[in-house]
Amino acid sequence: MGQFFQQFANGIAQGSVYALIGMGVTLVFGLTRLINFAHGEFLAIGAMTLWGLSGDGWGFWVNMPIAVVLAGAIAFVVYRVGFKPTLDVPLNGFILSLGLITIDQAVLSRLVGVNARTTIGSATGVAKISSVIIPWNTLLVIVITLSLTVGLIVILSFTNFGRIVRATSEDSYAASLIGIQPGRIIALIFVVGSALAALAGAFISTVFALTPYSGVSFVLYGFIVAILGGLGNPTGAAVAGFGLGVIQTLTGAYVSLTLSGSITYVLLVVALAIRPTGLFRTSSV
Amino acid sequence: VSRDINGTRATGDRRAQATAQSVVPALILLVAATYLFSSGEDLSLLSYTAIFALVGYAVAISFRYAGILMVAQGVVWGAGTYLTSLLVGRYNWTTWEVAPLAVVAGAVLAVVIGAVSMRSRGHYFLIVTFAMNELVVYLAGTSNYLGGTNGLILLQRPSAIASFTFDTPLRRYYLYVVFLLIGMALCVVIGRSRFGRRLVAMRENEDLARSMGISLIAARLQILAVGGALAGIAGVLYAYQQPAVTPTLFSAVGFLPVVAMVIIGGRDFTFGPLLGAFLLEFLPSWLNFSPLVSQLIYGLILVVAILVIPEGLAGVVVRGTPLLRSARRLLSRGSGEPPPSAEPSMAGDISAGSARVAEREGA
Repeated sequence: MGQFFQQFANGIAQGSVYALIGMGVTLVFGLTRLINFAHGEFLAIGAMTLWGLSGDGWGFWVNMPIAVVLAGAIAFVVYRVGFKPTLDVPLNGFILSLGLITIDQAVLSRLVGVNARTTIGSATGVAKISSVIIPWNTLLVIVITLSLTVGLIVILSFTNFGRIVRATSEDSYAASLIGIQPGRIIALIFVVGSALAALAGAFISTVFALTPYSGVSFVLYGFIVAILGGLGNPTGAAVAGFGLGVIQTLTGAYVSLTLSGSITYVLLVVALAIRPTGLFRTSSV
Repeated sequence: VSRDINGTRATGDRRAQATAQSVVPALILLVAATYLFSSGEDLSLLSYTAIFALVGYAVAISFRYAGILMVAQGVVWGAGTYLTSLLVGRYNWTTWEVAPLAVVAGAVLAVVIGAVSMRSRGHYFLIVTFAMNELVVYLAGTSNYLGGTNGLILLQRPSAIASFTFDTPLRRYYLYVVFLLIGMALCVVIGRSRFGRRLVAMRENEDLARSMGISLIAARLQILAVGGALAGIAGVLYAYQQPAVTPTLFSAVGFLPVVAMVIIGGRDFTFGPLLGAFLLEFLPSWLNFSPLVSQLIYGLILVVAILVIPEGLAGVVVRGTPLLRSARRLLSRGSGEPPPSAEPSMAGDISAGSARVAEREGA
């Protein structure tokens, strides 16, 4: 039984990574309708910046915000120059994001090399809860994921700003009639969502080894989690992310490794065959 | 189910003429290219160009007329390659026994993936086909029968037709060119057929098309089947050009350059995918930079292309600047129609390209 709980905890740890990425995707994709496959690149930027700064001796809690702000600034430029003109034609945005992935991978590999690496997190050692062992850094990722989920739900559901964001997402024309500036809201969501990806990248890199090419593989999981959870729905993304992590880990431990690797795609296809718009309510939070 | 009706004899003639107008210049260019780029390395690049262009047409044919971008044509293409490597390499089939099977298998696979994915629409469709592609690639990587992640190796040459053998690179290149031209011709013919016009009608206004009694799902699956058949035969050829194949060659991420190639070349123009494939293959060797720098330049080209010339290079060549465009419209009134085109739109989206529609209706 102890073995089972350990596997379950591993699943939660894996799932928190998926949830964290899915959260950013669900915000950007769900609320602005931009199909940005380069979203994962901000994750790589966050992780690689943290790694690049690791020699400065300031520690994780100084370097991590620097990485996040830097990614946010890059996101702003990318949005203004690139995605803004494609808002009416999402497919062009998608193609644009492919170009951005290529550019980002080339630049990052040039700057920091292509080796897989982890960064030094804020904590060391492991937490022991009866027989279950979790590294403190992993526990931190789980806690961060949960607090971000709660934070986003509160902001989107209960604040005036959240209502403005939802209104823009639902009908930007009508929103503009009552004095909201949809362009600004969309830019803001894009920047915040991308910064969130960088944050995820920074934390994930303390647990898993990442390369400049990691963004693409993570972003696919992000999209799957966001779709399963219902676009624009942070609660759904969190549930889908944690659920996916647990199912994947348990399948790998008790059924077969092959199934574990393919279960994500199988789940997506089956889920969409049953409910074509995702398992949870969409974009109404 | 309504069938294509050729209509009057005059339409049939015009269609043949339009096909010849694309295929004959392409043939001349592709043959001339062997004299311009005659070194062994260049001929290899040309061969890849021909095969990639054929895959490009497999993607473009549904993208252009129905607005459906199916990333999973990557795995359909891979199925053709694996089928060839397996049946020819392990079970001693000939190329010409595998080829028809690959065409049918490609069409069926594309329809199956399309049918499952079409439950979801618009934005979802793209991502679901993406995921379906990754699923198949992942499973191929775990299968010992298919060689796992190491893939398969095929060292044979394409089987001879009567006494005509394919034992030189040049002869194999011409074999690829034949199939490429067939793909190109198919693209033109479908655009001029009632079937093609029906797809364009659906793309432009789904609700209106449905109210006219057009079966959307059936028509969409049919065009995906055509694309799948092209991807399948391209896979057969690829098995001979690329002796060692692995699943990752056909992953969705690996397939993105093909999508990029169609876009940069110009999906709405018959020469677009060919032009895109040519640039994709030759640009890195011309630029002759380190891999990272050429990757960077390639990315920049893609970004600039989609922002500045979303119609693609062929669009610039054919249509020119807006000024040239209006001059051309004045001149071409009465003689033939401008190539069909519309704002790129997602499967199921109602396109907002009303200006273009008006332009087309002028013909």
